[in-house]
Amino acid sequence: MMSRDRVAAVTLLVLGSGGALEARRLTLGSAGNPGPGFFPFWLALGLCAVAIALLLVRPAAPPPAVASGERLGSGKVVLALAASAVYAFILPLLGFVASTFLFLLVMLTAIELRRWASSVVIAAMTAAVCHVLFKTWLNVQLPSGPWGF
Amino acid sequence: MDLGLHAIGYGFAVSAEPLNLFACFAGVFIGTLIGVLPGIGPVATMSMLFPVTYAMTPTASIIMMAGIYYGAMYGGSTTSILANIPGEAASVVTCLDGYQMARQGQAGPALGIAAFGSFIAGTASVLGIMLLGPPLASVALRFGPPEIFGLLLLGFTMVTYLAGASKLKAVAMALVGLLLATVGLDPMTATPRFTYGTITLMDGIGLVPIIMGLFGVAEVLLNIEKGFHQEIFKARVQGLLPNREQWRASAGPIARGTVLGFFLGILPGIGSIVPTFLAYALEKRIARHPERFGRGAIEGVAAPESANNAATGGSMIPLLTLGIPANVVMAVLLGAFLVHGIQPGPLLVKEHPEIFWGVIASMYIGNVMLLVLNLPLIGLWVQVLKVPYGVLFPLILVFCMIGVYTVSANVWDIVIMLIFGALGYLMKKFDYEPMPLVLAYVLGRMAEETIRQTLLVSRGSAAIFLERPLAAIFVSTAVAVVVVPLVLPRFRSAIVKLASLREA
Repeated sequence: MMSRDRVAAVTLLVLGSGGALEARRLTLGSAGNPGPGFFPFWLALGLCAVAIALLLVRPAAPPPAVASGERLGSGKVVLALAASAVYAFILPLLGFVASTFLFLLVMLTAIELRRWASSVVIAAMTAAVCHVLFKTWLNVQLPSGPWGF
Repeated sequence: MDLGLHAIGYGFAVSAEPLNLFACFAGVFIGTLIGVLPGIGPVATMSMLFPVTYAMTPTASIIMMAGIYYGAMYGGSTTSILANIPGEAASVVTCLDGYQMARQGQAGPALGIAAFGSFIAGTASVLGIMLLGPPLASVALRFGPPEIFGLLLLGFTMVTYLAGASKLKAVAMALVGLLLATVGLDPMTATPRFTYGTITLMDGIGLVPIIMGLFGVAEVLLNIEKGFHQEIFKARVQGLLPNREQWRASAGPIARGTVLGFFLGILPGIGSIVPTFLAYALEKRIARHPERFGRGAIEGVAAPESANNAATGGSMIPLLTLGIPANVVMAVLLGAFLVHGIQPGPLLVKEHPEIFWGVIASMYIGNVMLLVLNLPLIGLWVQVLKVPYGVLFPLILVFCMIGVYTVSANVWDIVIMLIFGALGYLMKKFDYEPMPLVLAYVLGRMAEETIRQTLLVSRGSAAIFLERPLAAIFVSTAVAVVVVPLVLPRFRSAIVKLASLREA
């Protein structure tokens, strides 16, 4: 099991070498006449160097037991991200009000563990208030659903 | 000076126009609100409001954006004092003595001195911008690509040096940010880079999705995981005006906090958090009874609150005169300028005096508004704290997504924001700072253009940076920032201390 620091450093190394390989497909040019690939290529190589340094260098002091590092990716976080991604795609299809209502409903029941009745009320009210606030007052263009809002 | 007075008079005329006055009010009001609410900061709020500013004039939108920033500084202090919750990172130090004062029945004077200190500091820093801004801009007019690149290099160095404990990690993040900035059309030959035939990536990755992902979504995710609990100190707030003795104790700290905050704020990468810690430490060091600090010393509220507001003003200088944002909030403000097709920089004073002077004057008006708004409305702000986070966080997510969507009407930008949200969450877990990444991203395009122009002119020789005096100064300062701490251990420990303050 790799330590978290190593996982991060390896990820950066992969990113750097991938970037360098991709940048080589562009015109590199020379120092006197740099092409489109010049800057990204050297940046990516620099990133590789730093990633390797991160792999080699032992931290001077053992990392403090910070609260933020306790555990990773609880189910709620994944769920919130997934629900947001779904929201992004139903937004143009169902319109702002319906998608926001559904999104809030899922968040409130699944993450906040509120009862259905109160979730429905809160979600409906919030979606309606947001609609008035954004569309009517602030004149922001929001996607409409097949039913006109 | 005569010219200065004339100009600021013009600024007041601009900012007193009804629309601008309203924008200023809306900005400071929203700013205070989100300053009070933990879990949402000025960066996310300002980016969320991008779409709203489309319908406004550039002047009004910048006035509103700036108002959100310094309004948040005010709001953050209210919750620090009343609830021991720093609504804003820059108010962490205010908790130390502010909350203690509240517990001793001194909540009123603590809030009062925070508001007055912020007001005095805000006002003084506006004067500072007035005096320093135009001369700096006229010097900057003579900058060519080598000078600008040297300055950017200095900025990157400072940011990575002050961001968190691990320099290597910060450098890695800055490089990732620079690489992200190369996505899209090459600025000089218009060759598509890393776009893989997608239209979404043609214009590059948007600043708004990146910032809202890293600072808005990531913050919400962390809070969801932590489970958010808040308790509110049910203090009766009475007598907001500090008494004469408290005023006398606070005068020095306010003055010192203002000067310290303002000048630190100008430096790139410092932000408004470090000055508050330094101002607090300074007062504690020179105090006759340092043991009073942490037990409700009014100096411990006055100094940091003045420092963070003065830093807000100071950090406007590099953006307005050089076009270089000193911190992430300024990067968002830069984005707001660009959305309206205006490039802030040395030419701003000449080409858009209504923005330059209007925004500065509006900051003055905004400070008065905050004073009037904050003191009587404290009861309302405390009520806001009672909004359960469980209802708030899905709403923040919705606002972020709608904000991103309306900028481009492109669903993929929401996806990009969510990816950066997940990335920001992981970065927090892996102890990587988002700050160098964002700044490098924002400045990346300018850095690439200037270095390529420089290399074209010098035919690939780096010696050009030494031949041009101003460029040489910038580059050698950047080198010194890296080398001096390695050579002088005392210096190094000071920087490590600074960096750890930032993490705390």
